[in-house]
Amino acid sequence: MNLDAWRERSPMFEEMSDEHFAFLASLAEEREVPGGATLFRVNTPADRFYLVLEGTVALKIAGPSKPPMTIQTVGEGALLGLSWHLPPYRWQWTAETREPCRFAEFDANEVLAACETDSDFDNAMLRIIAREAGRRLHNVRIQLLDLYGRE
Amino acid sequence: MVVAPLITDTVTEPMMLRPFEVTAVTQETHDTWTLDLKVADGGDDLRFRPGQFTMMYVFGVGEVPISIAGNPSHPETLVHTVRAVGAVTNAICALRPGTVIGIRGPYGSSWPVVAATGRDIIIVAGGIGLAPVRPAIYHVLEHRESYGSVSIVYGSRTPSDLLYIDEIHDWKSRFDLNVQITVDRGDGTWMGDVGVVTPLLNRLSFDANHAAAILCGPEIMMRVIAKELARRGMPTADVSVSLERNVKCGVGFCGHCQIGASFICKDGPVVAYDDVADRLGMEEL
Repeated sequence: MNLDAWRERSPMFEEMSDEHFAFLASLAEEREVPGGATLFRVNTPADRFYLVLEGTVALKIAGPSKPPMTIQTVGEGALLGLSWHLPPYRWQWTAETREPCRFAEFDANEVLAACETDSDFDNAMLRIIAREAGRRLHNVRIQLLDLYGRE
Repeated sequence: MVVAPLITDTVTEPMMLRPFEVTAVTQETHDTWTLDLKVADGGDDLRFRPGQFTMMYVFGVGEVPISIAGNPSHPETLVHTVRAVGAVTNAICALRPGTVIGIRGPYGSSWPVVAATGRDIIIVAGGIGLAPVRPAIYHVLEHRESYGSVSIVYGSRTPSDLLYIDEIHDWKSRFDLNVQITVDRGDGTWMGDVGVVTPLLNRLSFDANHAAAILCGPEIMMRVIAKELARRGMPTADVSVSLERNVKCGVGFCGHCQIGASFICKDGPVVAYDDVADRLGMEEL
C-alpha cells in the first residue's frame, strides 16, 4: 500500500527511514469502515493497529451505570492503537467510527514478527510508539490545564 | 479582486469616553454574553479594523479592554462578546437594552487581512478567543474570492461553551470553508471531535509558503499551533497572534500591559508571532 502522501501530512513517521516506512507500508491493508462501527472493544486482545487515512474515530470508555463517554477523537494523520506493542496487549478503550473511515490496517503479529527479526525496525517502531505516547500525554496535560475556562 | 484598505477612526481624544447605548443582549453560554451597542452622542459610528479593542466603562464600576467582535463593514453596530469573570465584566454581562455605558477607542493593531489577500487563510481560536477573530472571519468571508483556501479551527471547553453556535453551523455548511471544531470534554450528545486543536491541523489543506495564520486563544495553544504550522513549512513571520495583558490606559502611558519591550495596547494586541515567540514561553512575563 502506498502511504507516501499520508506520511507527508502526518509528523508521526518523519523520523523513520524511507526503507523502514516502505516495508511497514507493504504490510498494510486498506480497509473502509462505515460510520458507527466498532473497530475494537476495551479489554479485548490488541492484535492490530491502524493509520487513519480518512474520517474520525471516537475512543470511548464506560463508567459504572453510565453510557460510554468519548474521551478523545482521532482523525486523519493519526496512529490508532498502541496497545499491540505493550503488555498486557489488550485495548484500553473502545474505538468507534464517527463517520465512514478509511484506514491502513496492520496485523500486529505480522509487524511484531518483523520486529523480532530486524532490531533496527523494532527500534524505529518503538521510537514512534514512544513519541506518540508522549504526544498524547502532552495533549492530556494541556486539556487538564482547562485553558479555555481560565483565560 | 483587490481588497481595499480598511477605514478606521483616528482617535483624537484617546482618554475621552463616548456614550453608547446597549441595543441588544444575547446570552452565548452560561457565562458569556454578546452586546450590541450604538453610538448615543449623535456622532459618527465607531469604525474599526478586525482585531482592535475598545475600553468599556460601566459607570460607577470600572473599565475593561474588550476586543470588538462585530462586522467591520457594519460599524453602525458595535459588538462585544464578554465573559463574566470579574466585577466589571459581571456588570457588563448584566446590562440590559437601553443602558448607556462609556466607550473609548478603538485601539491597537489589527489582523493582517488586507496584507493576506491572495493567500490561504488559517484561523485558529480557543475559547473566548473566537470573539477577537470574528471580525477577521467576517472580512474574509465578505471578500471570499480574494483569498485561497480558508480554514477555521476552534477549540472549546465543552459543547455548551461554544460561542456563536448558529454562525458556526452556517460556516460549516459552506463548501468554500473548512471548519473544524473540538472540545476538551464532550457530553452524551456531542458527535464532534474531542481533544486539543493541534491534531485538527492535519485536516487542513494550505500552501505553507503562501498562507497567513491568525491565532487567538490561550498562549500555550498559540505556541503549540505556531510550532506545528512551522513544522508544516509555514514561515512563522506569517503567523499573527493576539495577546492579552492587563490593559489599563489603552494608549501606552501606564505600562500595565507591558510584555518585554512592547505594550499590548499600543504595539498589540495583534503581533507577529516572530516578534514575541521568545517572550511567550518566559515564566511570569
